[in-house]
Amino acid sequence: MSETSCDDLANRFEKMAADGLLDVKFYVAGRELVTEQVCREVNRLYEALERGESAELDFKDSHKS
Amino acid sequence: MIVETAKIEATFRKVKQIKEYMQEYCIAPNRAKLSVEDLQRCISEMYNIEIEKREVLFEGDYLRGLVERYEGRARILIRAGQGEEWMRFTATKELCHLAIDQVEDWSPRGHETIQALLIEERLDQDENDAAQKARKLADARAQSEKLAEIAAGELMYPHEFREGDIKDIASGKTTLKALAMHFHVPTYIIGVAHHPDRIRIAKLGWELTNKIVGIVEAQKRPQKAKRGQRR
Repeated sequence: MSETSCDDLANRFEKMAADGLLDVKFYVAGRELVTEQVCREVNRLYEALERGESAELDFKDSHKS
Repeated sequence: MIVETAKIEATFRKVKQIKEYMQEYCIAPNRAKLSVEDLQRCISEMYNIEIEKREVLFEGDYLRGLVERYEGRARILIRAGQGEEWMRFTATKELCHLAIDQVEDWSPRGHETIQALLIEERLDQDENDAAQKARKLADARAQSEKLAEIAAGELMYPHEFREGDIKDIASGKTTLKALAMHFHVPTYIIGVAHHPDRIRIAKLGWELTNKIVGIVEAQKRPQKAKRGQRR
């Protein structure tokens, strides 16, 4: 039985909640979006993270000396 | 989207507190370009949360980023390659969630949050007057998304500049793009900030916040007078 991207994402967040996730919020842009499209991209984000395709983000814009 | 007035007031009050904290603890906090790194440090200290930020390389057109909250820590994940100004705005918006969200706004069921948000976005785009009049208060999670975006806008492009800038654009003295470059925000965000609905919410938010601060200050004054009389 095929699962949708949203089903996959729901399963992922259920596991993350069991591991302590309290809240997740998103910044989504675009018009006439479909939930399935957005869930697919969130899944892609986490899959990329699992493959190590991420890096610490530092804007190097601190005004502190 | 219909947002609760009390949440608007709370959001602007938090923005004011963040600005005051940055004023006290950061060097050059009033520069046109908000330091996202200094903002992160301030929010981390104010709310006692360890914050990690990562850029993630994945194919996407719609998801700019997300923030995960755990006990005492948070992780912000941002889509790489969307341009520095969008990455800065997204990071700021996600940092704002850590400041403005209350426990009742939290949910680990992210797929449901996405659904609630998209329902409100679709309703926002419905130009039918009857449909707009029938709108009810948005789901708390959707309200939180909108308020974090508003808070990020206030921090990166403060309200006090907007009416003057709108006039300057009308008279040809400046442009949306020039303002975007000055404040280091996406041009789209300047445009949104100039929308009458956003101006109205910002005016309301600042009026409510300043009124409450005024009331608190007034409540402190009679006690000072009493101390003077005892002498």
